Amino acid sequence: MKRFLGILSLALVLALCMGSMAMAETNYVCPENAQTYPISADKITVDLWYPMAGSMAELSDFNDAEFFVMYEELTNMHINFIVPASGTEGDSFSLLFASDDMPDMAYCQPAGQKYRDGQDAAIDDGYFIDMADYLDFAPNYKVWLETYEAYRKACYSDTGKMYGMWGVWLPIGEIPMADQGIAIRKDFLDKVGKDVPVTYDDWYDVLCAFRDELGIEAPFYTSKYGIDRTGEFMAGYGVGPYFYQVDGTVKYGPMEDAYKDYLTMLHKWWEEGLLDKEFATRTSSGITADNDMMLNDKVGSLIDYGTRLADVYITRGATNPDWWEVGVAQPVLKEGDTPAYRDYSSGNDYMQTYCTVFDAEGEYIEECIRWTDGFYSKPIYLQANFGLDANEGKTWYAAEDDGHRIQDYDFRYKNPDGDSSALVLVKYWTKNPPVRVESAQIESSKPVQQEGYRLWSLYEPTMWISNRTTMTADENAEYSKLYTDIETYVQECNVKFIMGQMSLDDYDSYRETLRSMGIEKCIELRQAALDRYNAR
Amino acid sequence: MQSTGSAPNIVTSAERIRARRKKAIRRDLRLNWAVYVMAIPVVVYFFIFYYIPMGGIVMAFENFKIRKGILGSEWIWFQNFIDFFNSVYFWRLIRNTILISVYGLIYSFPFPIIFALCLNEVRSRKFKKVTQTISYMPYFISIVVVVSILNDFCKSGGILTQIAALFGDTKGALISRPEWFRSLYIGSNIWQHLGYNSIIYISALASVDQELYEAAYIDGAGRWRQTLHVTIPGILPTIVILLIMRLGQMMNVGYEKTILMYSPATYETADIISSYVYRVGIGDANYSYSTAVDLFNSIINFLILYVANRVSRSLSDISLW
Repeated sequence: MKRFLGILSLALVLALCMGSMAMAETNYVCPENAQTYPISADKITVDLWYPMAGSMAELSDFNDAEFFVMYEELTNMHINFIVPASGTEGDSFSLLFASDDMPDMAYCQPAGQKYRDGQDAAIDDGYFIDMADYLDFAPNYKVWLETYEAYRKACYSDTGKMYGMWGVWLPIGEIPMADQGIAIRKDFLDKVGKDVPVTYDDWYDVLCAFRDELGIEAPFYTSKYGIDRTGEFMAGYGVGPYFYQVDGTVKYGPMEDAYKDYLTMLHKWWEEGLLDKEFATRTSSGITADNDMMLNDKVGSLIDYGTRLADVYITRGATNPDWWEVGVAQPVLKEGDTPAYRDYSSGNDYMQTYCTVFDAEGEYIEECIRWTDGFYSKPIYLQANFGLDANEGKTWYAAEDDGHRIQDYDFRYKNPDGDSSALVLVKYWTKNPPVRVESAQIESSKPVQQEGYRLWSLYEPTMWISNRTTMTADENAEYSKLYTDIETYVQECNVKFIMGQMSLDDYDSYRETLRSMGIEKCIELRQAALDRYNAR
Repeated sequence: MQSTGSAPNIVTSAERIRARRKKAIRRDLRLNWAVYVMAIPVVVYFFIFYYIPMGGIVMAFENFKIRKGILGSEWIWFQNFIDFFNSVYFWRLIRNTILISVYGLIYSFPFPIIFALCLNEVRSRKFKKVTQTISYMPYFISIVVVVSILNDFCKSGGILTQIAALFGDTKGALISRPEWFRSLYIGSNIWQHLGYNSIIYISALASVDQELYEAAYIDGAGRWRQTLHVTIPGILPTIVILLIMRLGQMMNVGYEKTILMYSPATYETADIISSYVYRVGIGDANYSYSTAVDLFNSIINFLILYVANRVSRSLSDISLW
């Protein structure tokens, strides 16, 4: 047994090294900047809706950030950042339409920040320009559309409109990696003498051990909806949290038996104290956990970002010096299964979740497009991702073999000025720029983090439905009328099933209620949208 | 008319009356102009902030599109109302709204009165003032803070949860259990508003004629009898008016506290009409539907107020109009 463990750990070390060595080089698209500067002869000021309040805690104005100071000098355009309060981004975005105060451009996440009648309607109703008509102002952006066919397909709607300038996720090599996934405390695992869990049964053992031997308050931490938003943990059951597809057929998770089985398991875990007791009243609806819980060793496992693996929480104030968090692949029912659902949003189709949209009645449409287009050229996106050119040796350094840039890990996480990693991100480079270079995040990170990224991307996400399927205005009106109520109801019932306030014996009548609320019509509409997308 | 000097000889009686009325109005304006000037801001305020927005009610009968505006949107009559009546949430919202306000009324209405009566019996002026001041304090705490205190007390391991456990309730965090929601909501309301709401009763008590007490004392009434037969009848009109006004607010449970306190786990008892309107209107930008729901709410409110006023007028001659 001992020898076996020895071999296993050797294999692990090897795998880790392989993991970091196997990183193919980034294919930098659009090497030349086709824009000419300054964009405007006279200094102009434009409004940019910029939902990055999370970064504002330490930096009160993005105009103080190094990158934006440089970019303002270059373009001769001053940006007035409009930052909605954290957590109110969606509401704030819908209010833009009701007010007469549309900013010149908005850097939005269309999945959650939307016009009620859909993206096409926002163009038809005259709020935003149809970017497809303005591509001549955006030569750099055009290069991306020509380079990645999947990306081009995703950028247009069924009717050939383009909502705005979509963000790019520039992968390392051919396949983009997931940047978030299931994470577990390795130091806890070592203490209870268990391996990283693979099947759901393994998970049960491990969580019980966390509870019994270590007295962990929340062996498994879930979001306030009981299930994780991205469906990582349920993937092994062969379902997705909401809509997903099986070979082109749209399905809705809660209508499937496997989903019920998953809830049955969670209910059992809840009864036995393996879940966070407070999950239903947590404020977080997505990834990562309550800070106090994390720092005080109350959480055994959770869905987390790759940048927080290893001992990163110690720099955030965790007191346990042994702190060690590792990434885990999605659990499976029995060994050898391949879970196929993964909705990590960023990365699929080379597209990231952000999109820059432009006010159709704006005074400076051309200038704004050209300002944004700059971000799509290598000279600018490198600086947006790694820090200014002049910061070589400070925020980034050149790789020995081919000179490509690598973020300086220590500068970010053990900053000489004592700045927090979140502040460094916005002070020296920019958060989620329009072109995100994947290697900026992954290459500089620790081997254990890289291994996390690899594990989370282990299975091909064949059940995922592109965010970029679109509906017509009429379909969209009908869909949102029905589905808004359904989703709230599902989220509420998930919690009740898990906490036992609703009995799983009543699952059939629950499904009947969903039918009466119109879920079948919603599936039909999603199906039609998916068919059109596949036919594009 | 005479003052103009050129009045016709025959004036019909109707004209004469009109002329006289005109004169009276002019006279009134001349005498009381200052009062009218003072009233202008109030009238303007009500007109701008209460009457003009009422035009927005039209949205409830339309499929409102922001771009088309109120005048241009498609007219769909009662479809929004029909959708609401058929919604799975309809009965639950009605039930929760009514229950939370009925319980709120039953439990929280008497407390300020009792508190005022107790204070009235206190002899020491100093003690009275200190108690009163302390009881006002919670009123000035932001509701956000009150709810976070509540959250802290009611999470698993929180003090209220532990107290409940002492009495045999060991099912965990009170804040995430639907059966506790109303008690926590109303209980914290009572704590927060007790002192402030009692002010009006305390001032009503001060205006009760002292001679009545003396007369009652001479007739041999003790303190309890005096309270029963002098104090309470003395402040009864105030109580009834406040009760009627409170009834008019019956369905108007504010959404602020609810959306701060609830979670999917407690929607069952916590979700009320106004929080639903907030979610649908602001969250989903479904303006016409949420206007329809809110209009429905206001109509019910008005009906309750009307009935309460009628009942009160026929029973006790005390009424709002």
